[in-house]
Amino acid sequence: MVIAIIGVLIALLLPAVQAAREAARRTECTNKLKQLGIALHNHHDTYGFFPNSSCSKTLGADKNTADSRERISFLPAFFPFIEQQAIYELIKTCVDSTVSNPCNWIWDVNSTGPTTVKIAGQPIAAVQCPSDSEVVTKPDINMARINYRPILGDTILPGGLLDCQRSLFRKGTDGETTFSSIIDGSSNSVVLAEAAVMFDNSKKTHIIGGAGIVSGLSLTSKPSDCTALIASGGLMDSTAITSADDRGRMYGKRLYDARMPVLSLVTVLPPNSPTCGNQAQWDNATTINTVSSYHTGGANVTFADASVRFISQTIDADDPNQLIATVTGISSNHYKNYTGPSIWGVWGALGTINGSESKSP
Amino acid sequence: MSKIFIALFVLSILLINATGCSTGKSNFRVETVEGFVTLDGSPVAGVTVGFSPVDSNAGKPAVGRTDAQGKFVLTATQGGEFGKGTMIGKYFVSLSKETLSREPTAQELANADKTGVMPEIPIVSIIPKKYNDPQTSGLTAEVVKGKNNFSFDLQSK
Repeated sequence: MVIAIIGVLIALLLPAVQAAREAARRTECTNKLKQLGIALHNHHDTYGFFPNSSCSKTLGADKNTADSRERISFLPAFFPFIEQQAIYELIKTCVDSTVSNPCNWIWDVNSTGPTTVKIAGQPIAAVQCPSDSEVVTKPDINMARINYRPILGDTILPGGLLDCQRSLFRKGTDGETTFSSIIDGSSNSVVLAEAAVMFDNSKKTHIIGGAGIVSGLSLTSKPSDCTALIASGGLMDSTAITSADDRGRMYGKRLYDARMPVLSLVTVLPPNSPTCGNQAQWDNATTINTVSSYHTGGANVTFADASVRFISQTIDADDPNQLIATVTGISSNHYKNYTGPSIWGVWGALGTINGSESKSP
Repeated sequence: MSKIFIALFVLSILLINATGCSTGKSNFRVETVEGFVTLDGSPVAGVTVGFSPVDSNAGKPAVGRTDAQGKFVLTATQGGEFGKGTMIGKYFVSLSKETLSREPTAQELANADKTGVMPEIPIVSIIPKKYNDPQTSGLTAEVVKGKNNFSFDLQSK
């Protein structure tokens, strides 16, 4: 009798313990985003501008745009401010090198640059959320995970390196942003957010919210083409991409690659909605990269004032069936041509720093 | 006496587990919406079916996607857990299916690897273009209480 009661009690307690563990992981995750927010401010205090999304001015990569040095991501600029000075020095040495294309494929463990820098597989705990329990296996062994990525506006983005005029992070060769660039107010602009890695090998599932390929996805598509995959079972699982090469491209593990499809997050679809690209070669695809996390009901984001808030996945993001070209009257390249309020509700407004809309969640 | 304590303890644990925290479930009542899309009489697979509320205060945007039989089931996009169906109300309907006019060649993919930008391959609309935009499609639907069934038969001419 007593044993039975104890058994029942333990069975009742176990879910509560699991919930407490997730709550602890979520707190740690929030704290890491806060640290990155503070690093962002310290960067601004030191250099007088915010880090770049590519062609980093801080690293001097904006002077070497002829080779893949321009393709180094936003993250190294944060390193001196999150106690990763050693790796920062390695990357800086590589960028300053006088040989040709010294940092080729720095984001890959099989980097082929003349000054081979083996940093790609080194985990950076400061950018890993413990709730994302993804287990690293072949073929991407030794590629480190990154869970916090910059918000690059509120539009569908193509591949390549872009100058996104609506976000805090800009390409180094196209100028830089300061606090005065944040017209919407630093407490109304999201600059960093969570993204779960694309596939979880251990669970054989896709990222929370799901990822899918919409072959006709273009810069003027309706975001609902992506959301619609939920309804039809069109989302991929980890077995969908059979090519090892394509799988290597898709993981959220390219810490140092600044190409839009592997770096960006956009505030088009609400958190934990699907992520879509127009082809399996993800690093060159046209994408809607949606904010996602393994926390229940939403995701954490950092605002430009370095505050961290939890955004519910039920946040207003207006109607994804809208055609951006007809609503705004601008026919192409909205990521740079489009000014004015976001058409994706409160969530879209948060993703811009200069949309003339001071909405807060 | 001790049995009462144990009972109380079990009850309190049960209550703690039962109340918990909110998980972002849909906070509005949804009605089931299903239907078929045909183009010149034959079913089309992979069509995005969009429902946009006429009045944003009365209705929730919803999407569906047709299967091989042309059948779609709508799901609201702001329901948190993507509850099946959508709210009662009047909707503009948009239908779209766009694909690349051809697959990129191996050479083009290799070039894209170097530049990071995919080649410009024209995108073709399988459904006549005017149906893409909820404002110009001319299709409307009213979701009512209970089961809803809509069929859209499109003409390519």
